[in-house]
Amino acid sequence: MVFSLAQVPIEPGRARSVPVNSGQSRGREGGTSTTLAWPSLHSLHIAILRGQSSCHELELFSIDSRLPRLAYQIKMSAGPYNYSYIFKYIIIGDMGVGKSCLLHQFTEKKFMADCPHTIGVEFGTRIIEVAGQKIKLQIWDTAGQERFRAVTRSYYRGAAGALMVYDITRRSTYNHLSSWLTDARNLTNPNTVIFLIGNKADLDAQRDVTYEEAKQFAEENGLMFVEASAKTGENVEEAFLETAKKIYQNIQDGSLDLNAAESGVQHKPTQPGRTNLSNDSQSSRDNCSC
Amino acid sequence: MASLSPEHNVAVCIPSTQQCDGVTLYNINLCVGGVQWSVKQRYNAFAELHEKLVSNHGVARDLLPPKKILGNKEPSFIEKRRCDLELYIQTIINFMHHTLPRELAEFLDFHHYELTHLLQSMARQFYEEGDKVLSEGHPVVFTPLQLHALSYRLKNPLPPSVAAADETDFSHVVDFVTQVKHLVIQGSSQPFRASNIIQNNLPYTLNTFKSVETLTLTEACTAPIGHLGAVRRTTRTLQVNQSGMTQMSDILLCDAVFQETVEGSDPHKWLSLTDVDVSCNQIKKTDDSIALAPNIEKLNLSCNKLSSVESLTKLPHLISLNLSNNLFSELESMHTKLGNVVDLDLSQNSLTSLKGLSKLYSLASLNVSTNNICEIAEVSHISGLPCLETLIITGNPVATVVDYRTKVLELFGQRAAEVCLDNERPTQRELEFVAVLQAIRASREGRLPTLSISSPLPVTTSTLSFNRPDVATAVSEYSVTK
Repeated sequence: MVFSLAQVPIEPGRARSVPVNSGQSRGREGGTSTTLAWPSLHSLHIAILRGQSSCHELELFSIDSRLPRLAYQIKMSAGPYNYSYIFKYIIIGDMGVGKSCLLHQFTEKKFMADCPHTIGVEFGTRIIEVAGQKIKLQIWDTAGQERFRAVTRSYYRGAAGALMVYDITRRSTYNHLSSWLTDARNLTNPNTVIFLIGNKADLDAQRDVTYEEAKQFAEENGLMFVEASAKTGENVEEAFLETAKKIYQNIQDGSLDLNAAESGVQHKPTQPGRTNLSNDSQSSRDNCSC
Repeated sequence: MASLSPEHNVAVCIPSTQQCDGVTLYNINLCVGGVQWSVKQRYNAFAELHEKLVSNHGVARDLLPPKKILGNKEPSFIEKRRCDLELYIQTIINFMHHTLPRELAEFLDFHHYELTHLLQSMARQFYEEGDKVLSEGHPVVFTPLQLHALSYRLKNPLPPSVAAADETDFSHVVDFVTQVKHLVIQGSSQPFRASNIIQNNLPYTLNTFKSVETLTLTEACTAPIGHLGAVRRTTRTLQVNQSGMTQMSDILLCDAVFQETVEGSDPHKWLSLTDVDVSCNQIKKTDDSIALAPNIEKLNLSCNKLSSVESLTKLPHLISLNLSNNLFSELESMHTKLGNVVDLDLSQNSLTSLKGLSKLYSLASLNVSTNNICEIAEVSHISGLPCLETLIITGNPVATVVDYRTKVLELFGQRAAEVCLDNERPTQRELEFVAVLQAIRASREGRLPTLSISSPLPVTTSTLSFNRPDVATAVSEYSVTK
């Protein structure tokens, strides 16, 4: 990303440009700041390596009154705050199939080895990009245990995407899919995208459910399907992203009405960029000695 | 707690009226599942509400008692209107208590007291402002009632009447909460607003908070915290003030059933915690549970009821310790009770002696102001501490002694110039005087005076020696010894 600063006085023929790579020195709390100062600087290009989950603020904080010296502070705010849609997801499936691990792998890009049982519901978010649009996924991870069913059922409502997970090494978790699917169909809206995930694909030696039969089950029920591994991360991104693409496609072709209650999708108009150039270059122009 | 589930009836009545600034206010009392509160509204507010209910929710227009321009201040009229309005609001509630439209809920302050509406108004607020608040990194203040509502909601099914996937969706609350970095819990033991809710009695959990770095509890009890979740792992700065804690385990083990430290009980460790402020509580003793936060560097125990320190040797990283405004009257071999502490504040206690500090060699800064130290000789116990540079004794009886500063500084011998006493560096004049005192003492003890008071200029020594070569040797001698 390149910011051009129109406010900076530029003398014809003497313009210089300085590329700046931000994020090298540690600064104020909550972000990284870099202070830059050059004499005789007339044009400044600041290239910011834009992290996936950070946005940047550029603010002009002081101009030396005698030298045309500019000092900029670049503050990288900590969180992801620019997105245009919110999609609500729910992850369902039997106990111990790896729902929480899939979520953790997706949000943290790490495998959680000794994941505790989920009590009721858990929650995670991540911002992804589909067709150039930033989308925030709000993901409800439900407990697989029967005793929490009353709580978890109430979260189906208003989900735009449902990830239904089974464990390829345990046949019983696959056999229960039809009851999970019934729940999902009954409690979500007709446009909810249901994605079937066969987890623990890394344990191929202990496989109890073949890819083909699961694929067939998915096709019969009109589900999207992939085998994934929360441990290796294989296909995890794909499952979440493909679901989002499908939802986005439904929005584009009009089959999903954003204004309908419980669509699970919210449009959030992007705020005007967080780039903030507070400038009093007037004083530097008046006092410029060169 | 008030949650609008089908089994909770909403009881409403208007028992009285009051005059305020020439306006008649009707006191509306509500009772939902054990929670009671009152709302004051004037007739015009009823009329506005009625307008909205008529246009948005198809309420019959003639339900509201009519307006009256003249004579609306007469007691008999007000009494009649009170009865009519009571009947009106009861009818409306009967009619809509399952769906409870937002206009009505806000008119009756449901969004302050009742969980479902409270969460909806939180969701709306976070949806609109959450990202801005988080990006600016300001502390976020929650009340125990809000946290209680949040925990309650996560444990129980969402009520079916609540519309999902709009700006009041519960996801927005959780989404915001998981990202909060600086959490402030502002408790209260007083009834909340115009209700019978005592916030500090409400149980809640903090396991939804995933990114808390600074946790501050102000006037909030620690006992109702049911589960800390990730907070225990992520918190770096902990501040608990005016919470009536009597021991450290009240907060460090607030969610454990047995508040006893089990050696190596890893799940309860606060491994990121470096800065702890538990000032203004009722702590009488520092208990073993402090070992659960082995990385503490800065510990503030001021304004408590401590008379001795214990268990603080379990903090190998402790640098700064504030024990001001406690009940210390004597100190015993502090070097066996504290490790490598650099900064110690013992001000506003009742200390009479500094003997116990004589071997706390790591000290660089000591504040013993406003104690009960009477003798200059007490300072000799700490004058041998090799790193001590900042010393505050002001506010003790000893500080009124004639030539107090020079007498104290004199005890530091060669280091006198390095010691900043009562926030002031020794002046040149003082150093000269100190040098004289030291010379006198030396001659009394039968030693030769050493010309080695550190000073940027050789002026000090010139009072004792008059030819330059001597000064030069004295200075070079000093620099060698240094």
